Amino acid sequence: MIRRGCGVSAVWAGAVLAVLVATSPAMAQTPAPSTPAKSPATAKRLEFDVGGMFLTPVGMGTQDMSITAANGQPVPFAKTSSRTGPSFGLEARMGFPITPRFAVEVAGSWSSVDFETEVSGDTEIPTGLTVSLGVSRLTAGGSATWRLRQKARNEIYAIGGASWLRDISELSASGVYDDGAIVDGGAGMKMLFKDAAQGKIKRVGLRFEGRVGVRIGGLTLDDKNTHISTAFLASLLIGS
Amino acid sequence: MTSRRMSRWVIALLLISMPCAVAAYLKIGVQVGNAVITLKWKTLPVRYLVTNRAVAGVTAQQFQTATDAAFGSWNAVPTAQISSSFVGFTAIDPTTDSGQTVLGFESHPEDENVLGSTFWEFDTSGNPRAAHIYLNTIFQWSVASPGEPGKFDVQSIMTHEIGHLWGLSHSAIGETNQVSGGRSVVGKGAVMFPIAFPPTNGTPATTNNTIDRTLKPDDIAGISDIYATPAFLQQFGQVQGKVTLNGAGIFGAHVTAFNQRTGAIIGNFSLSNDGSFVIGGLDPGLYLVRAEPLDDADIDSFFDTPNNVNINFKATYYAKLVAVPAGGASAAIEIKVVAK
Repeated sequence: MIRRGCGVSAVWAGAVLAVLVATSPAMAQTPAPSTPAKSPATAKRLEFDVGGMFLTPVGMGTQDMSITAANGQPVPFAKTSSRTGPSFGLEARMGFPITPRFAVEVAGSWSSVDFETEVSGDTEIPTGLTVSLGVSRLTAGGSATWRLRQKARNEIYAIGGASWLRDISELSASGVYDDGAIVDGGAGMKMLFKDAAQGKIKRVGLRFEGRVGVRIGGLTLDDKNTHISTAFLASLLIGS
Repeated sequence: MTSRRMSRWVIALLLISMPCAVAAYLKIGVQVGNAVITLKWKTLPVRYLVTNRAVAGVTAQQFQTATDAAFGSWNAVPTAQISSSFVGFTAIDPTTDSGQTVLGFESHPEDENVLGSTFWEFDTSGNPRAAHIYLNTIFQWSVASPGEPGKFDVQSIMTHEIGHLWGLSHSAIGETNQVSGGRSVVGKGAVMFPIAFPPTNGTPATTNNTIDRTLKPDDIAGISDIYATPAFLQQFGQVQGKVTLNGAGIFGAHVTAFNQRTGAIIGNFSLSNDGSFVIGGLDPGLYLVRAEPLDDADIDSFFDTPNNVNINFKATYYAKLVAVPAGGASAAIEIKVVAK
């Protein structure tokens, strides 16, 4: 459902964020183990990531513009094929370690998504054309990561999470938007240049990640409420 | 003062051809002084009588049953506040100004291409106080559920005429082919398209003119636009904008909004000299918007002043998808067309 104006909030997403924010400081303040950690990572507290995001195209089906003939059969006078094009965006995250392997993160992102419809076979317009609409997609959510493997300063991890999203269309001076959610999962790698036990900034590195997600709701050009999407991220990692 | 207006539905001609146009619903306007107001019944339910006249194969009672079903199709639209009530049979002819709404069969051999017509009587404020619908007895009629070969379907044609009774004019969502003596309908996307499907033929039928017993999205949008429920106003939206040629507005351009999610085509016309248009009754979502000249039906089926209608431009899509919100309108768009 496309909405207009402000005032609609995703209660569940807010609740998730509130829980994460409320619980994480306490966890972060948990006394260190009596025995020294084997890795500085176990002593890390907060981790920040800021980076770029690439979203792969998502098909949104075909639909004929048609009327009905006297025999009840559709008479198409144009065909349409729709998708979202390849998109880029930014994402920021803050992670909180729960155990040496397990961490939770809160994240927010913005991406610019082009909704595209290719029109062909119009009986009055012989040349095909592509009609598009720019959409700003905002997300806010949380995720959990599980470190699968650590070798030297490289970590491989699995990630799963959920986000609330808002698609805000171009040509919407009055604020046309549609809300939805993304549930996703994937894997990534952290390449640390610095992984120290002391200092304000203990960890610095790069993070690469791939996720496959199910988008529920948001703007769409077909009759499906869910769409599978893939995202790739590369970000700068800084840990305190 | 009582005034009358008439809307007719011409007979379809049989021919298959390439499709060539689409458009949308149009509301009937009533001239009151210098103003034009939308035809809208203020008193509901509309109470109607049926002329006690039968034709071959259809009794007056059967006509009434089919008419009741036709009214029912419109009354069942959840986003429109309308109702009707059958009062009884009468000896009054449908075309007689009686101050009462009378529907029935009547012979009009002078209208050899007219299946049916709708007339209104208006009060001094421009509000309808009665309506009259006749089905022309020079044609063969049927009330059989699947239709009958060689006959027109009473319920389908009455559904169209009752759309006029409520205030809808003709939709141009349809495709026709010009043939000698008129136009043949290739297909249509609205009961309110001005040309009827040809009679059902063959066994099994390759054409079925009972299709128009069922309203299409354009019909539903039109009736809801006139008799909107509060929910309709909150849940549906509009595309707004103008159609221009070299910077000047175009009057009478067909503008359609296509919802790729539902397949619905709904539209309207640019109805002012600056080319402004509004298409209402749209499900929230993204729309493909297309403007085209009104060259697929006789212009006087839609406008009283056909000379003002510009048809000398090429069909054009708006370059962007248009987002329609619930309970509001899209950003104003401008569809720039080029001359033919």
